[in-house]
Amino acid sequence: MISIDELTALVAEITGRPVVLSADTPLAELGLDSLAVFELLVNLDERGVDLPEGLWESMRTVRDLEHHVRLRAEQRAP
Amino acid sequence: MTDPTAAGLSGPRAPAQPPNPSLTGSTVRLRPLRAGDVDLLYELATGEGTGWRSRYRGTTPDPARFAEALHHAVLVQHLAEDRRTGRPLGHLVAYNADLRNGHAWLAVTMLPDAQRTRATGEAVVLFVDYLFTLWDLHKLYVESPEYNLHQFGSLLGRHLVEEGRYREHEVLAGRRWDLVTAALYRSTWIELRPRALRLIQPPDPGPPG
Repeated sequence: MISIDELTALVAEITGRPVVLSADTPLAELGLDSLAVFELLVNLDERGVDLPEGLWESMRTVRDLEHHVRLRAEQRAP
Repeated sequence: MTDPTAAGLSGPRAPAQPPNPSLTGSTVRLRPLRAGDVDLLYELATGEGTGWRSRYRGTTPDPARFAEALHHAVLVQHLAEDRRTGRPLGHLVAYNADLRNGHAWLAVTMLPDAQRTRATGEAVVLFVDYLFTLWDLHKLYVESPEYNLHQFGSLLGRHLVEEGRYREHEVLAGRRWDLVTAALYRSTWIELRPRALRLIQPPDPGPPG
C-alpha cells in the first residue's frame, strides 16, 4: 500500500524537485520522462503495487493510481 | 548449490554459467534489424514527432544514402517491438564504440505513442543490459540537446553523470540550446540491474504441453 504522501515523496525523489500532488493531478503533469516512468513503476512494484501491462498508460490522474492501489490491497486482504 | 567460480586452484574447475542477456521483456521484444525495416527507420528519423529530434534534426536525407549510412559506425542496433503484437515501438543503437577503452554511444528513438510509457523503459533496460553483458564497456554515453533532455533528464545527477556540455550549441525555435553528454557507468548499472530486470521479466509460459 502506498499513500499519496509516499507517492509525492517518491515522485519528488525521482524528478529531483519538490512536487505537490492531489488526487486530481494528471499523471502527465508529474514531470516524469520516459525512464522516470519506468523507475516509478520499479519503485511501486517493490512496494507491492504491481501495474499490469498497459495499466499505467490507461491511468489519467493520481486518483486513478490511488484507486488501483486500494483495489490491489483489498484483493490481497485475507 | 555450488558456486562454480569458487572451485579451488587444485580441484577441477566447473564451467561457469554465463549470463544470458535476454532481448525479451514483459511488454517489449528487441530484435536485429531486417532489410524491410528501412522504411520504418526513415519514418522515425524524419517523421512528425521524432524527425526534428533525430540526428538529422528535421532534414530529409536522401533515402538511398540513409539506408547506406544505417550501419555506419554501429556496434549493434535493435528494433523494439510490442512483444504480443509485433508492432514496432522504436529503434536503439550503440555506435562509435571504442572497445579498447570501453565506451560506446547510445541512441534511442521511440515512436511518439511509445514515449513516456513502460515500453520505452523496458526497451532501454534490455538494450543496456545486452551491451554491458556482451562487451567490456566501462560506460555508455548519451548525448542530447537541452530541449530533448526531458527524455531522460530525471536520471541526470543520480544514475547518469553529466560529462560534457557544449554551451548554446544548437538553434531551435529562435533560441540557442546546450548540447549535453552524460554517461552511465557499468558500476551504476550493476547496482540498478537487479531491480530493473525484476520488473520486466516476461510472464512465465507455464509448463510445456
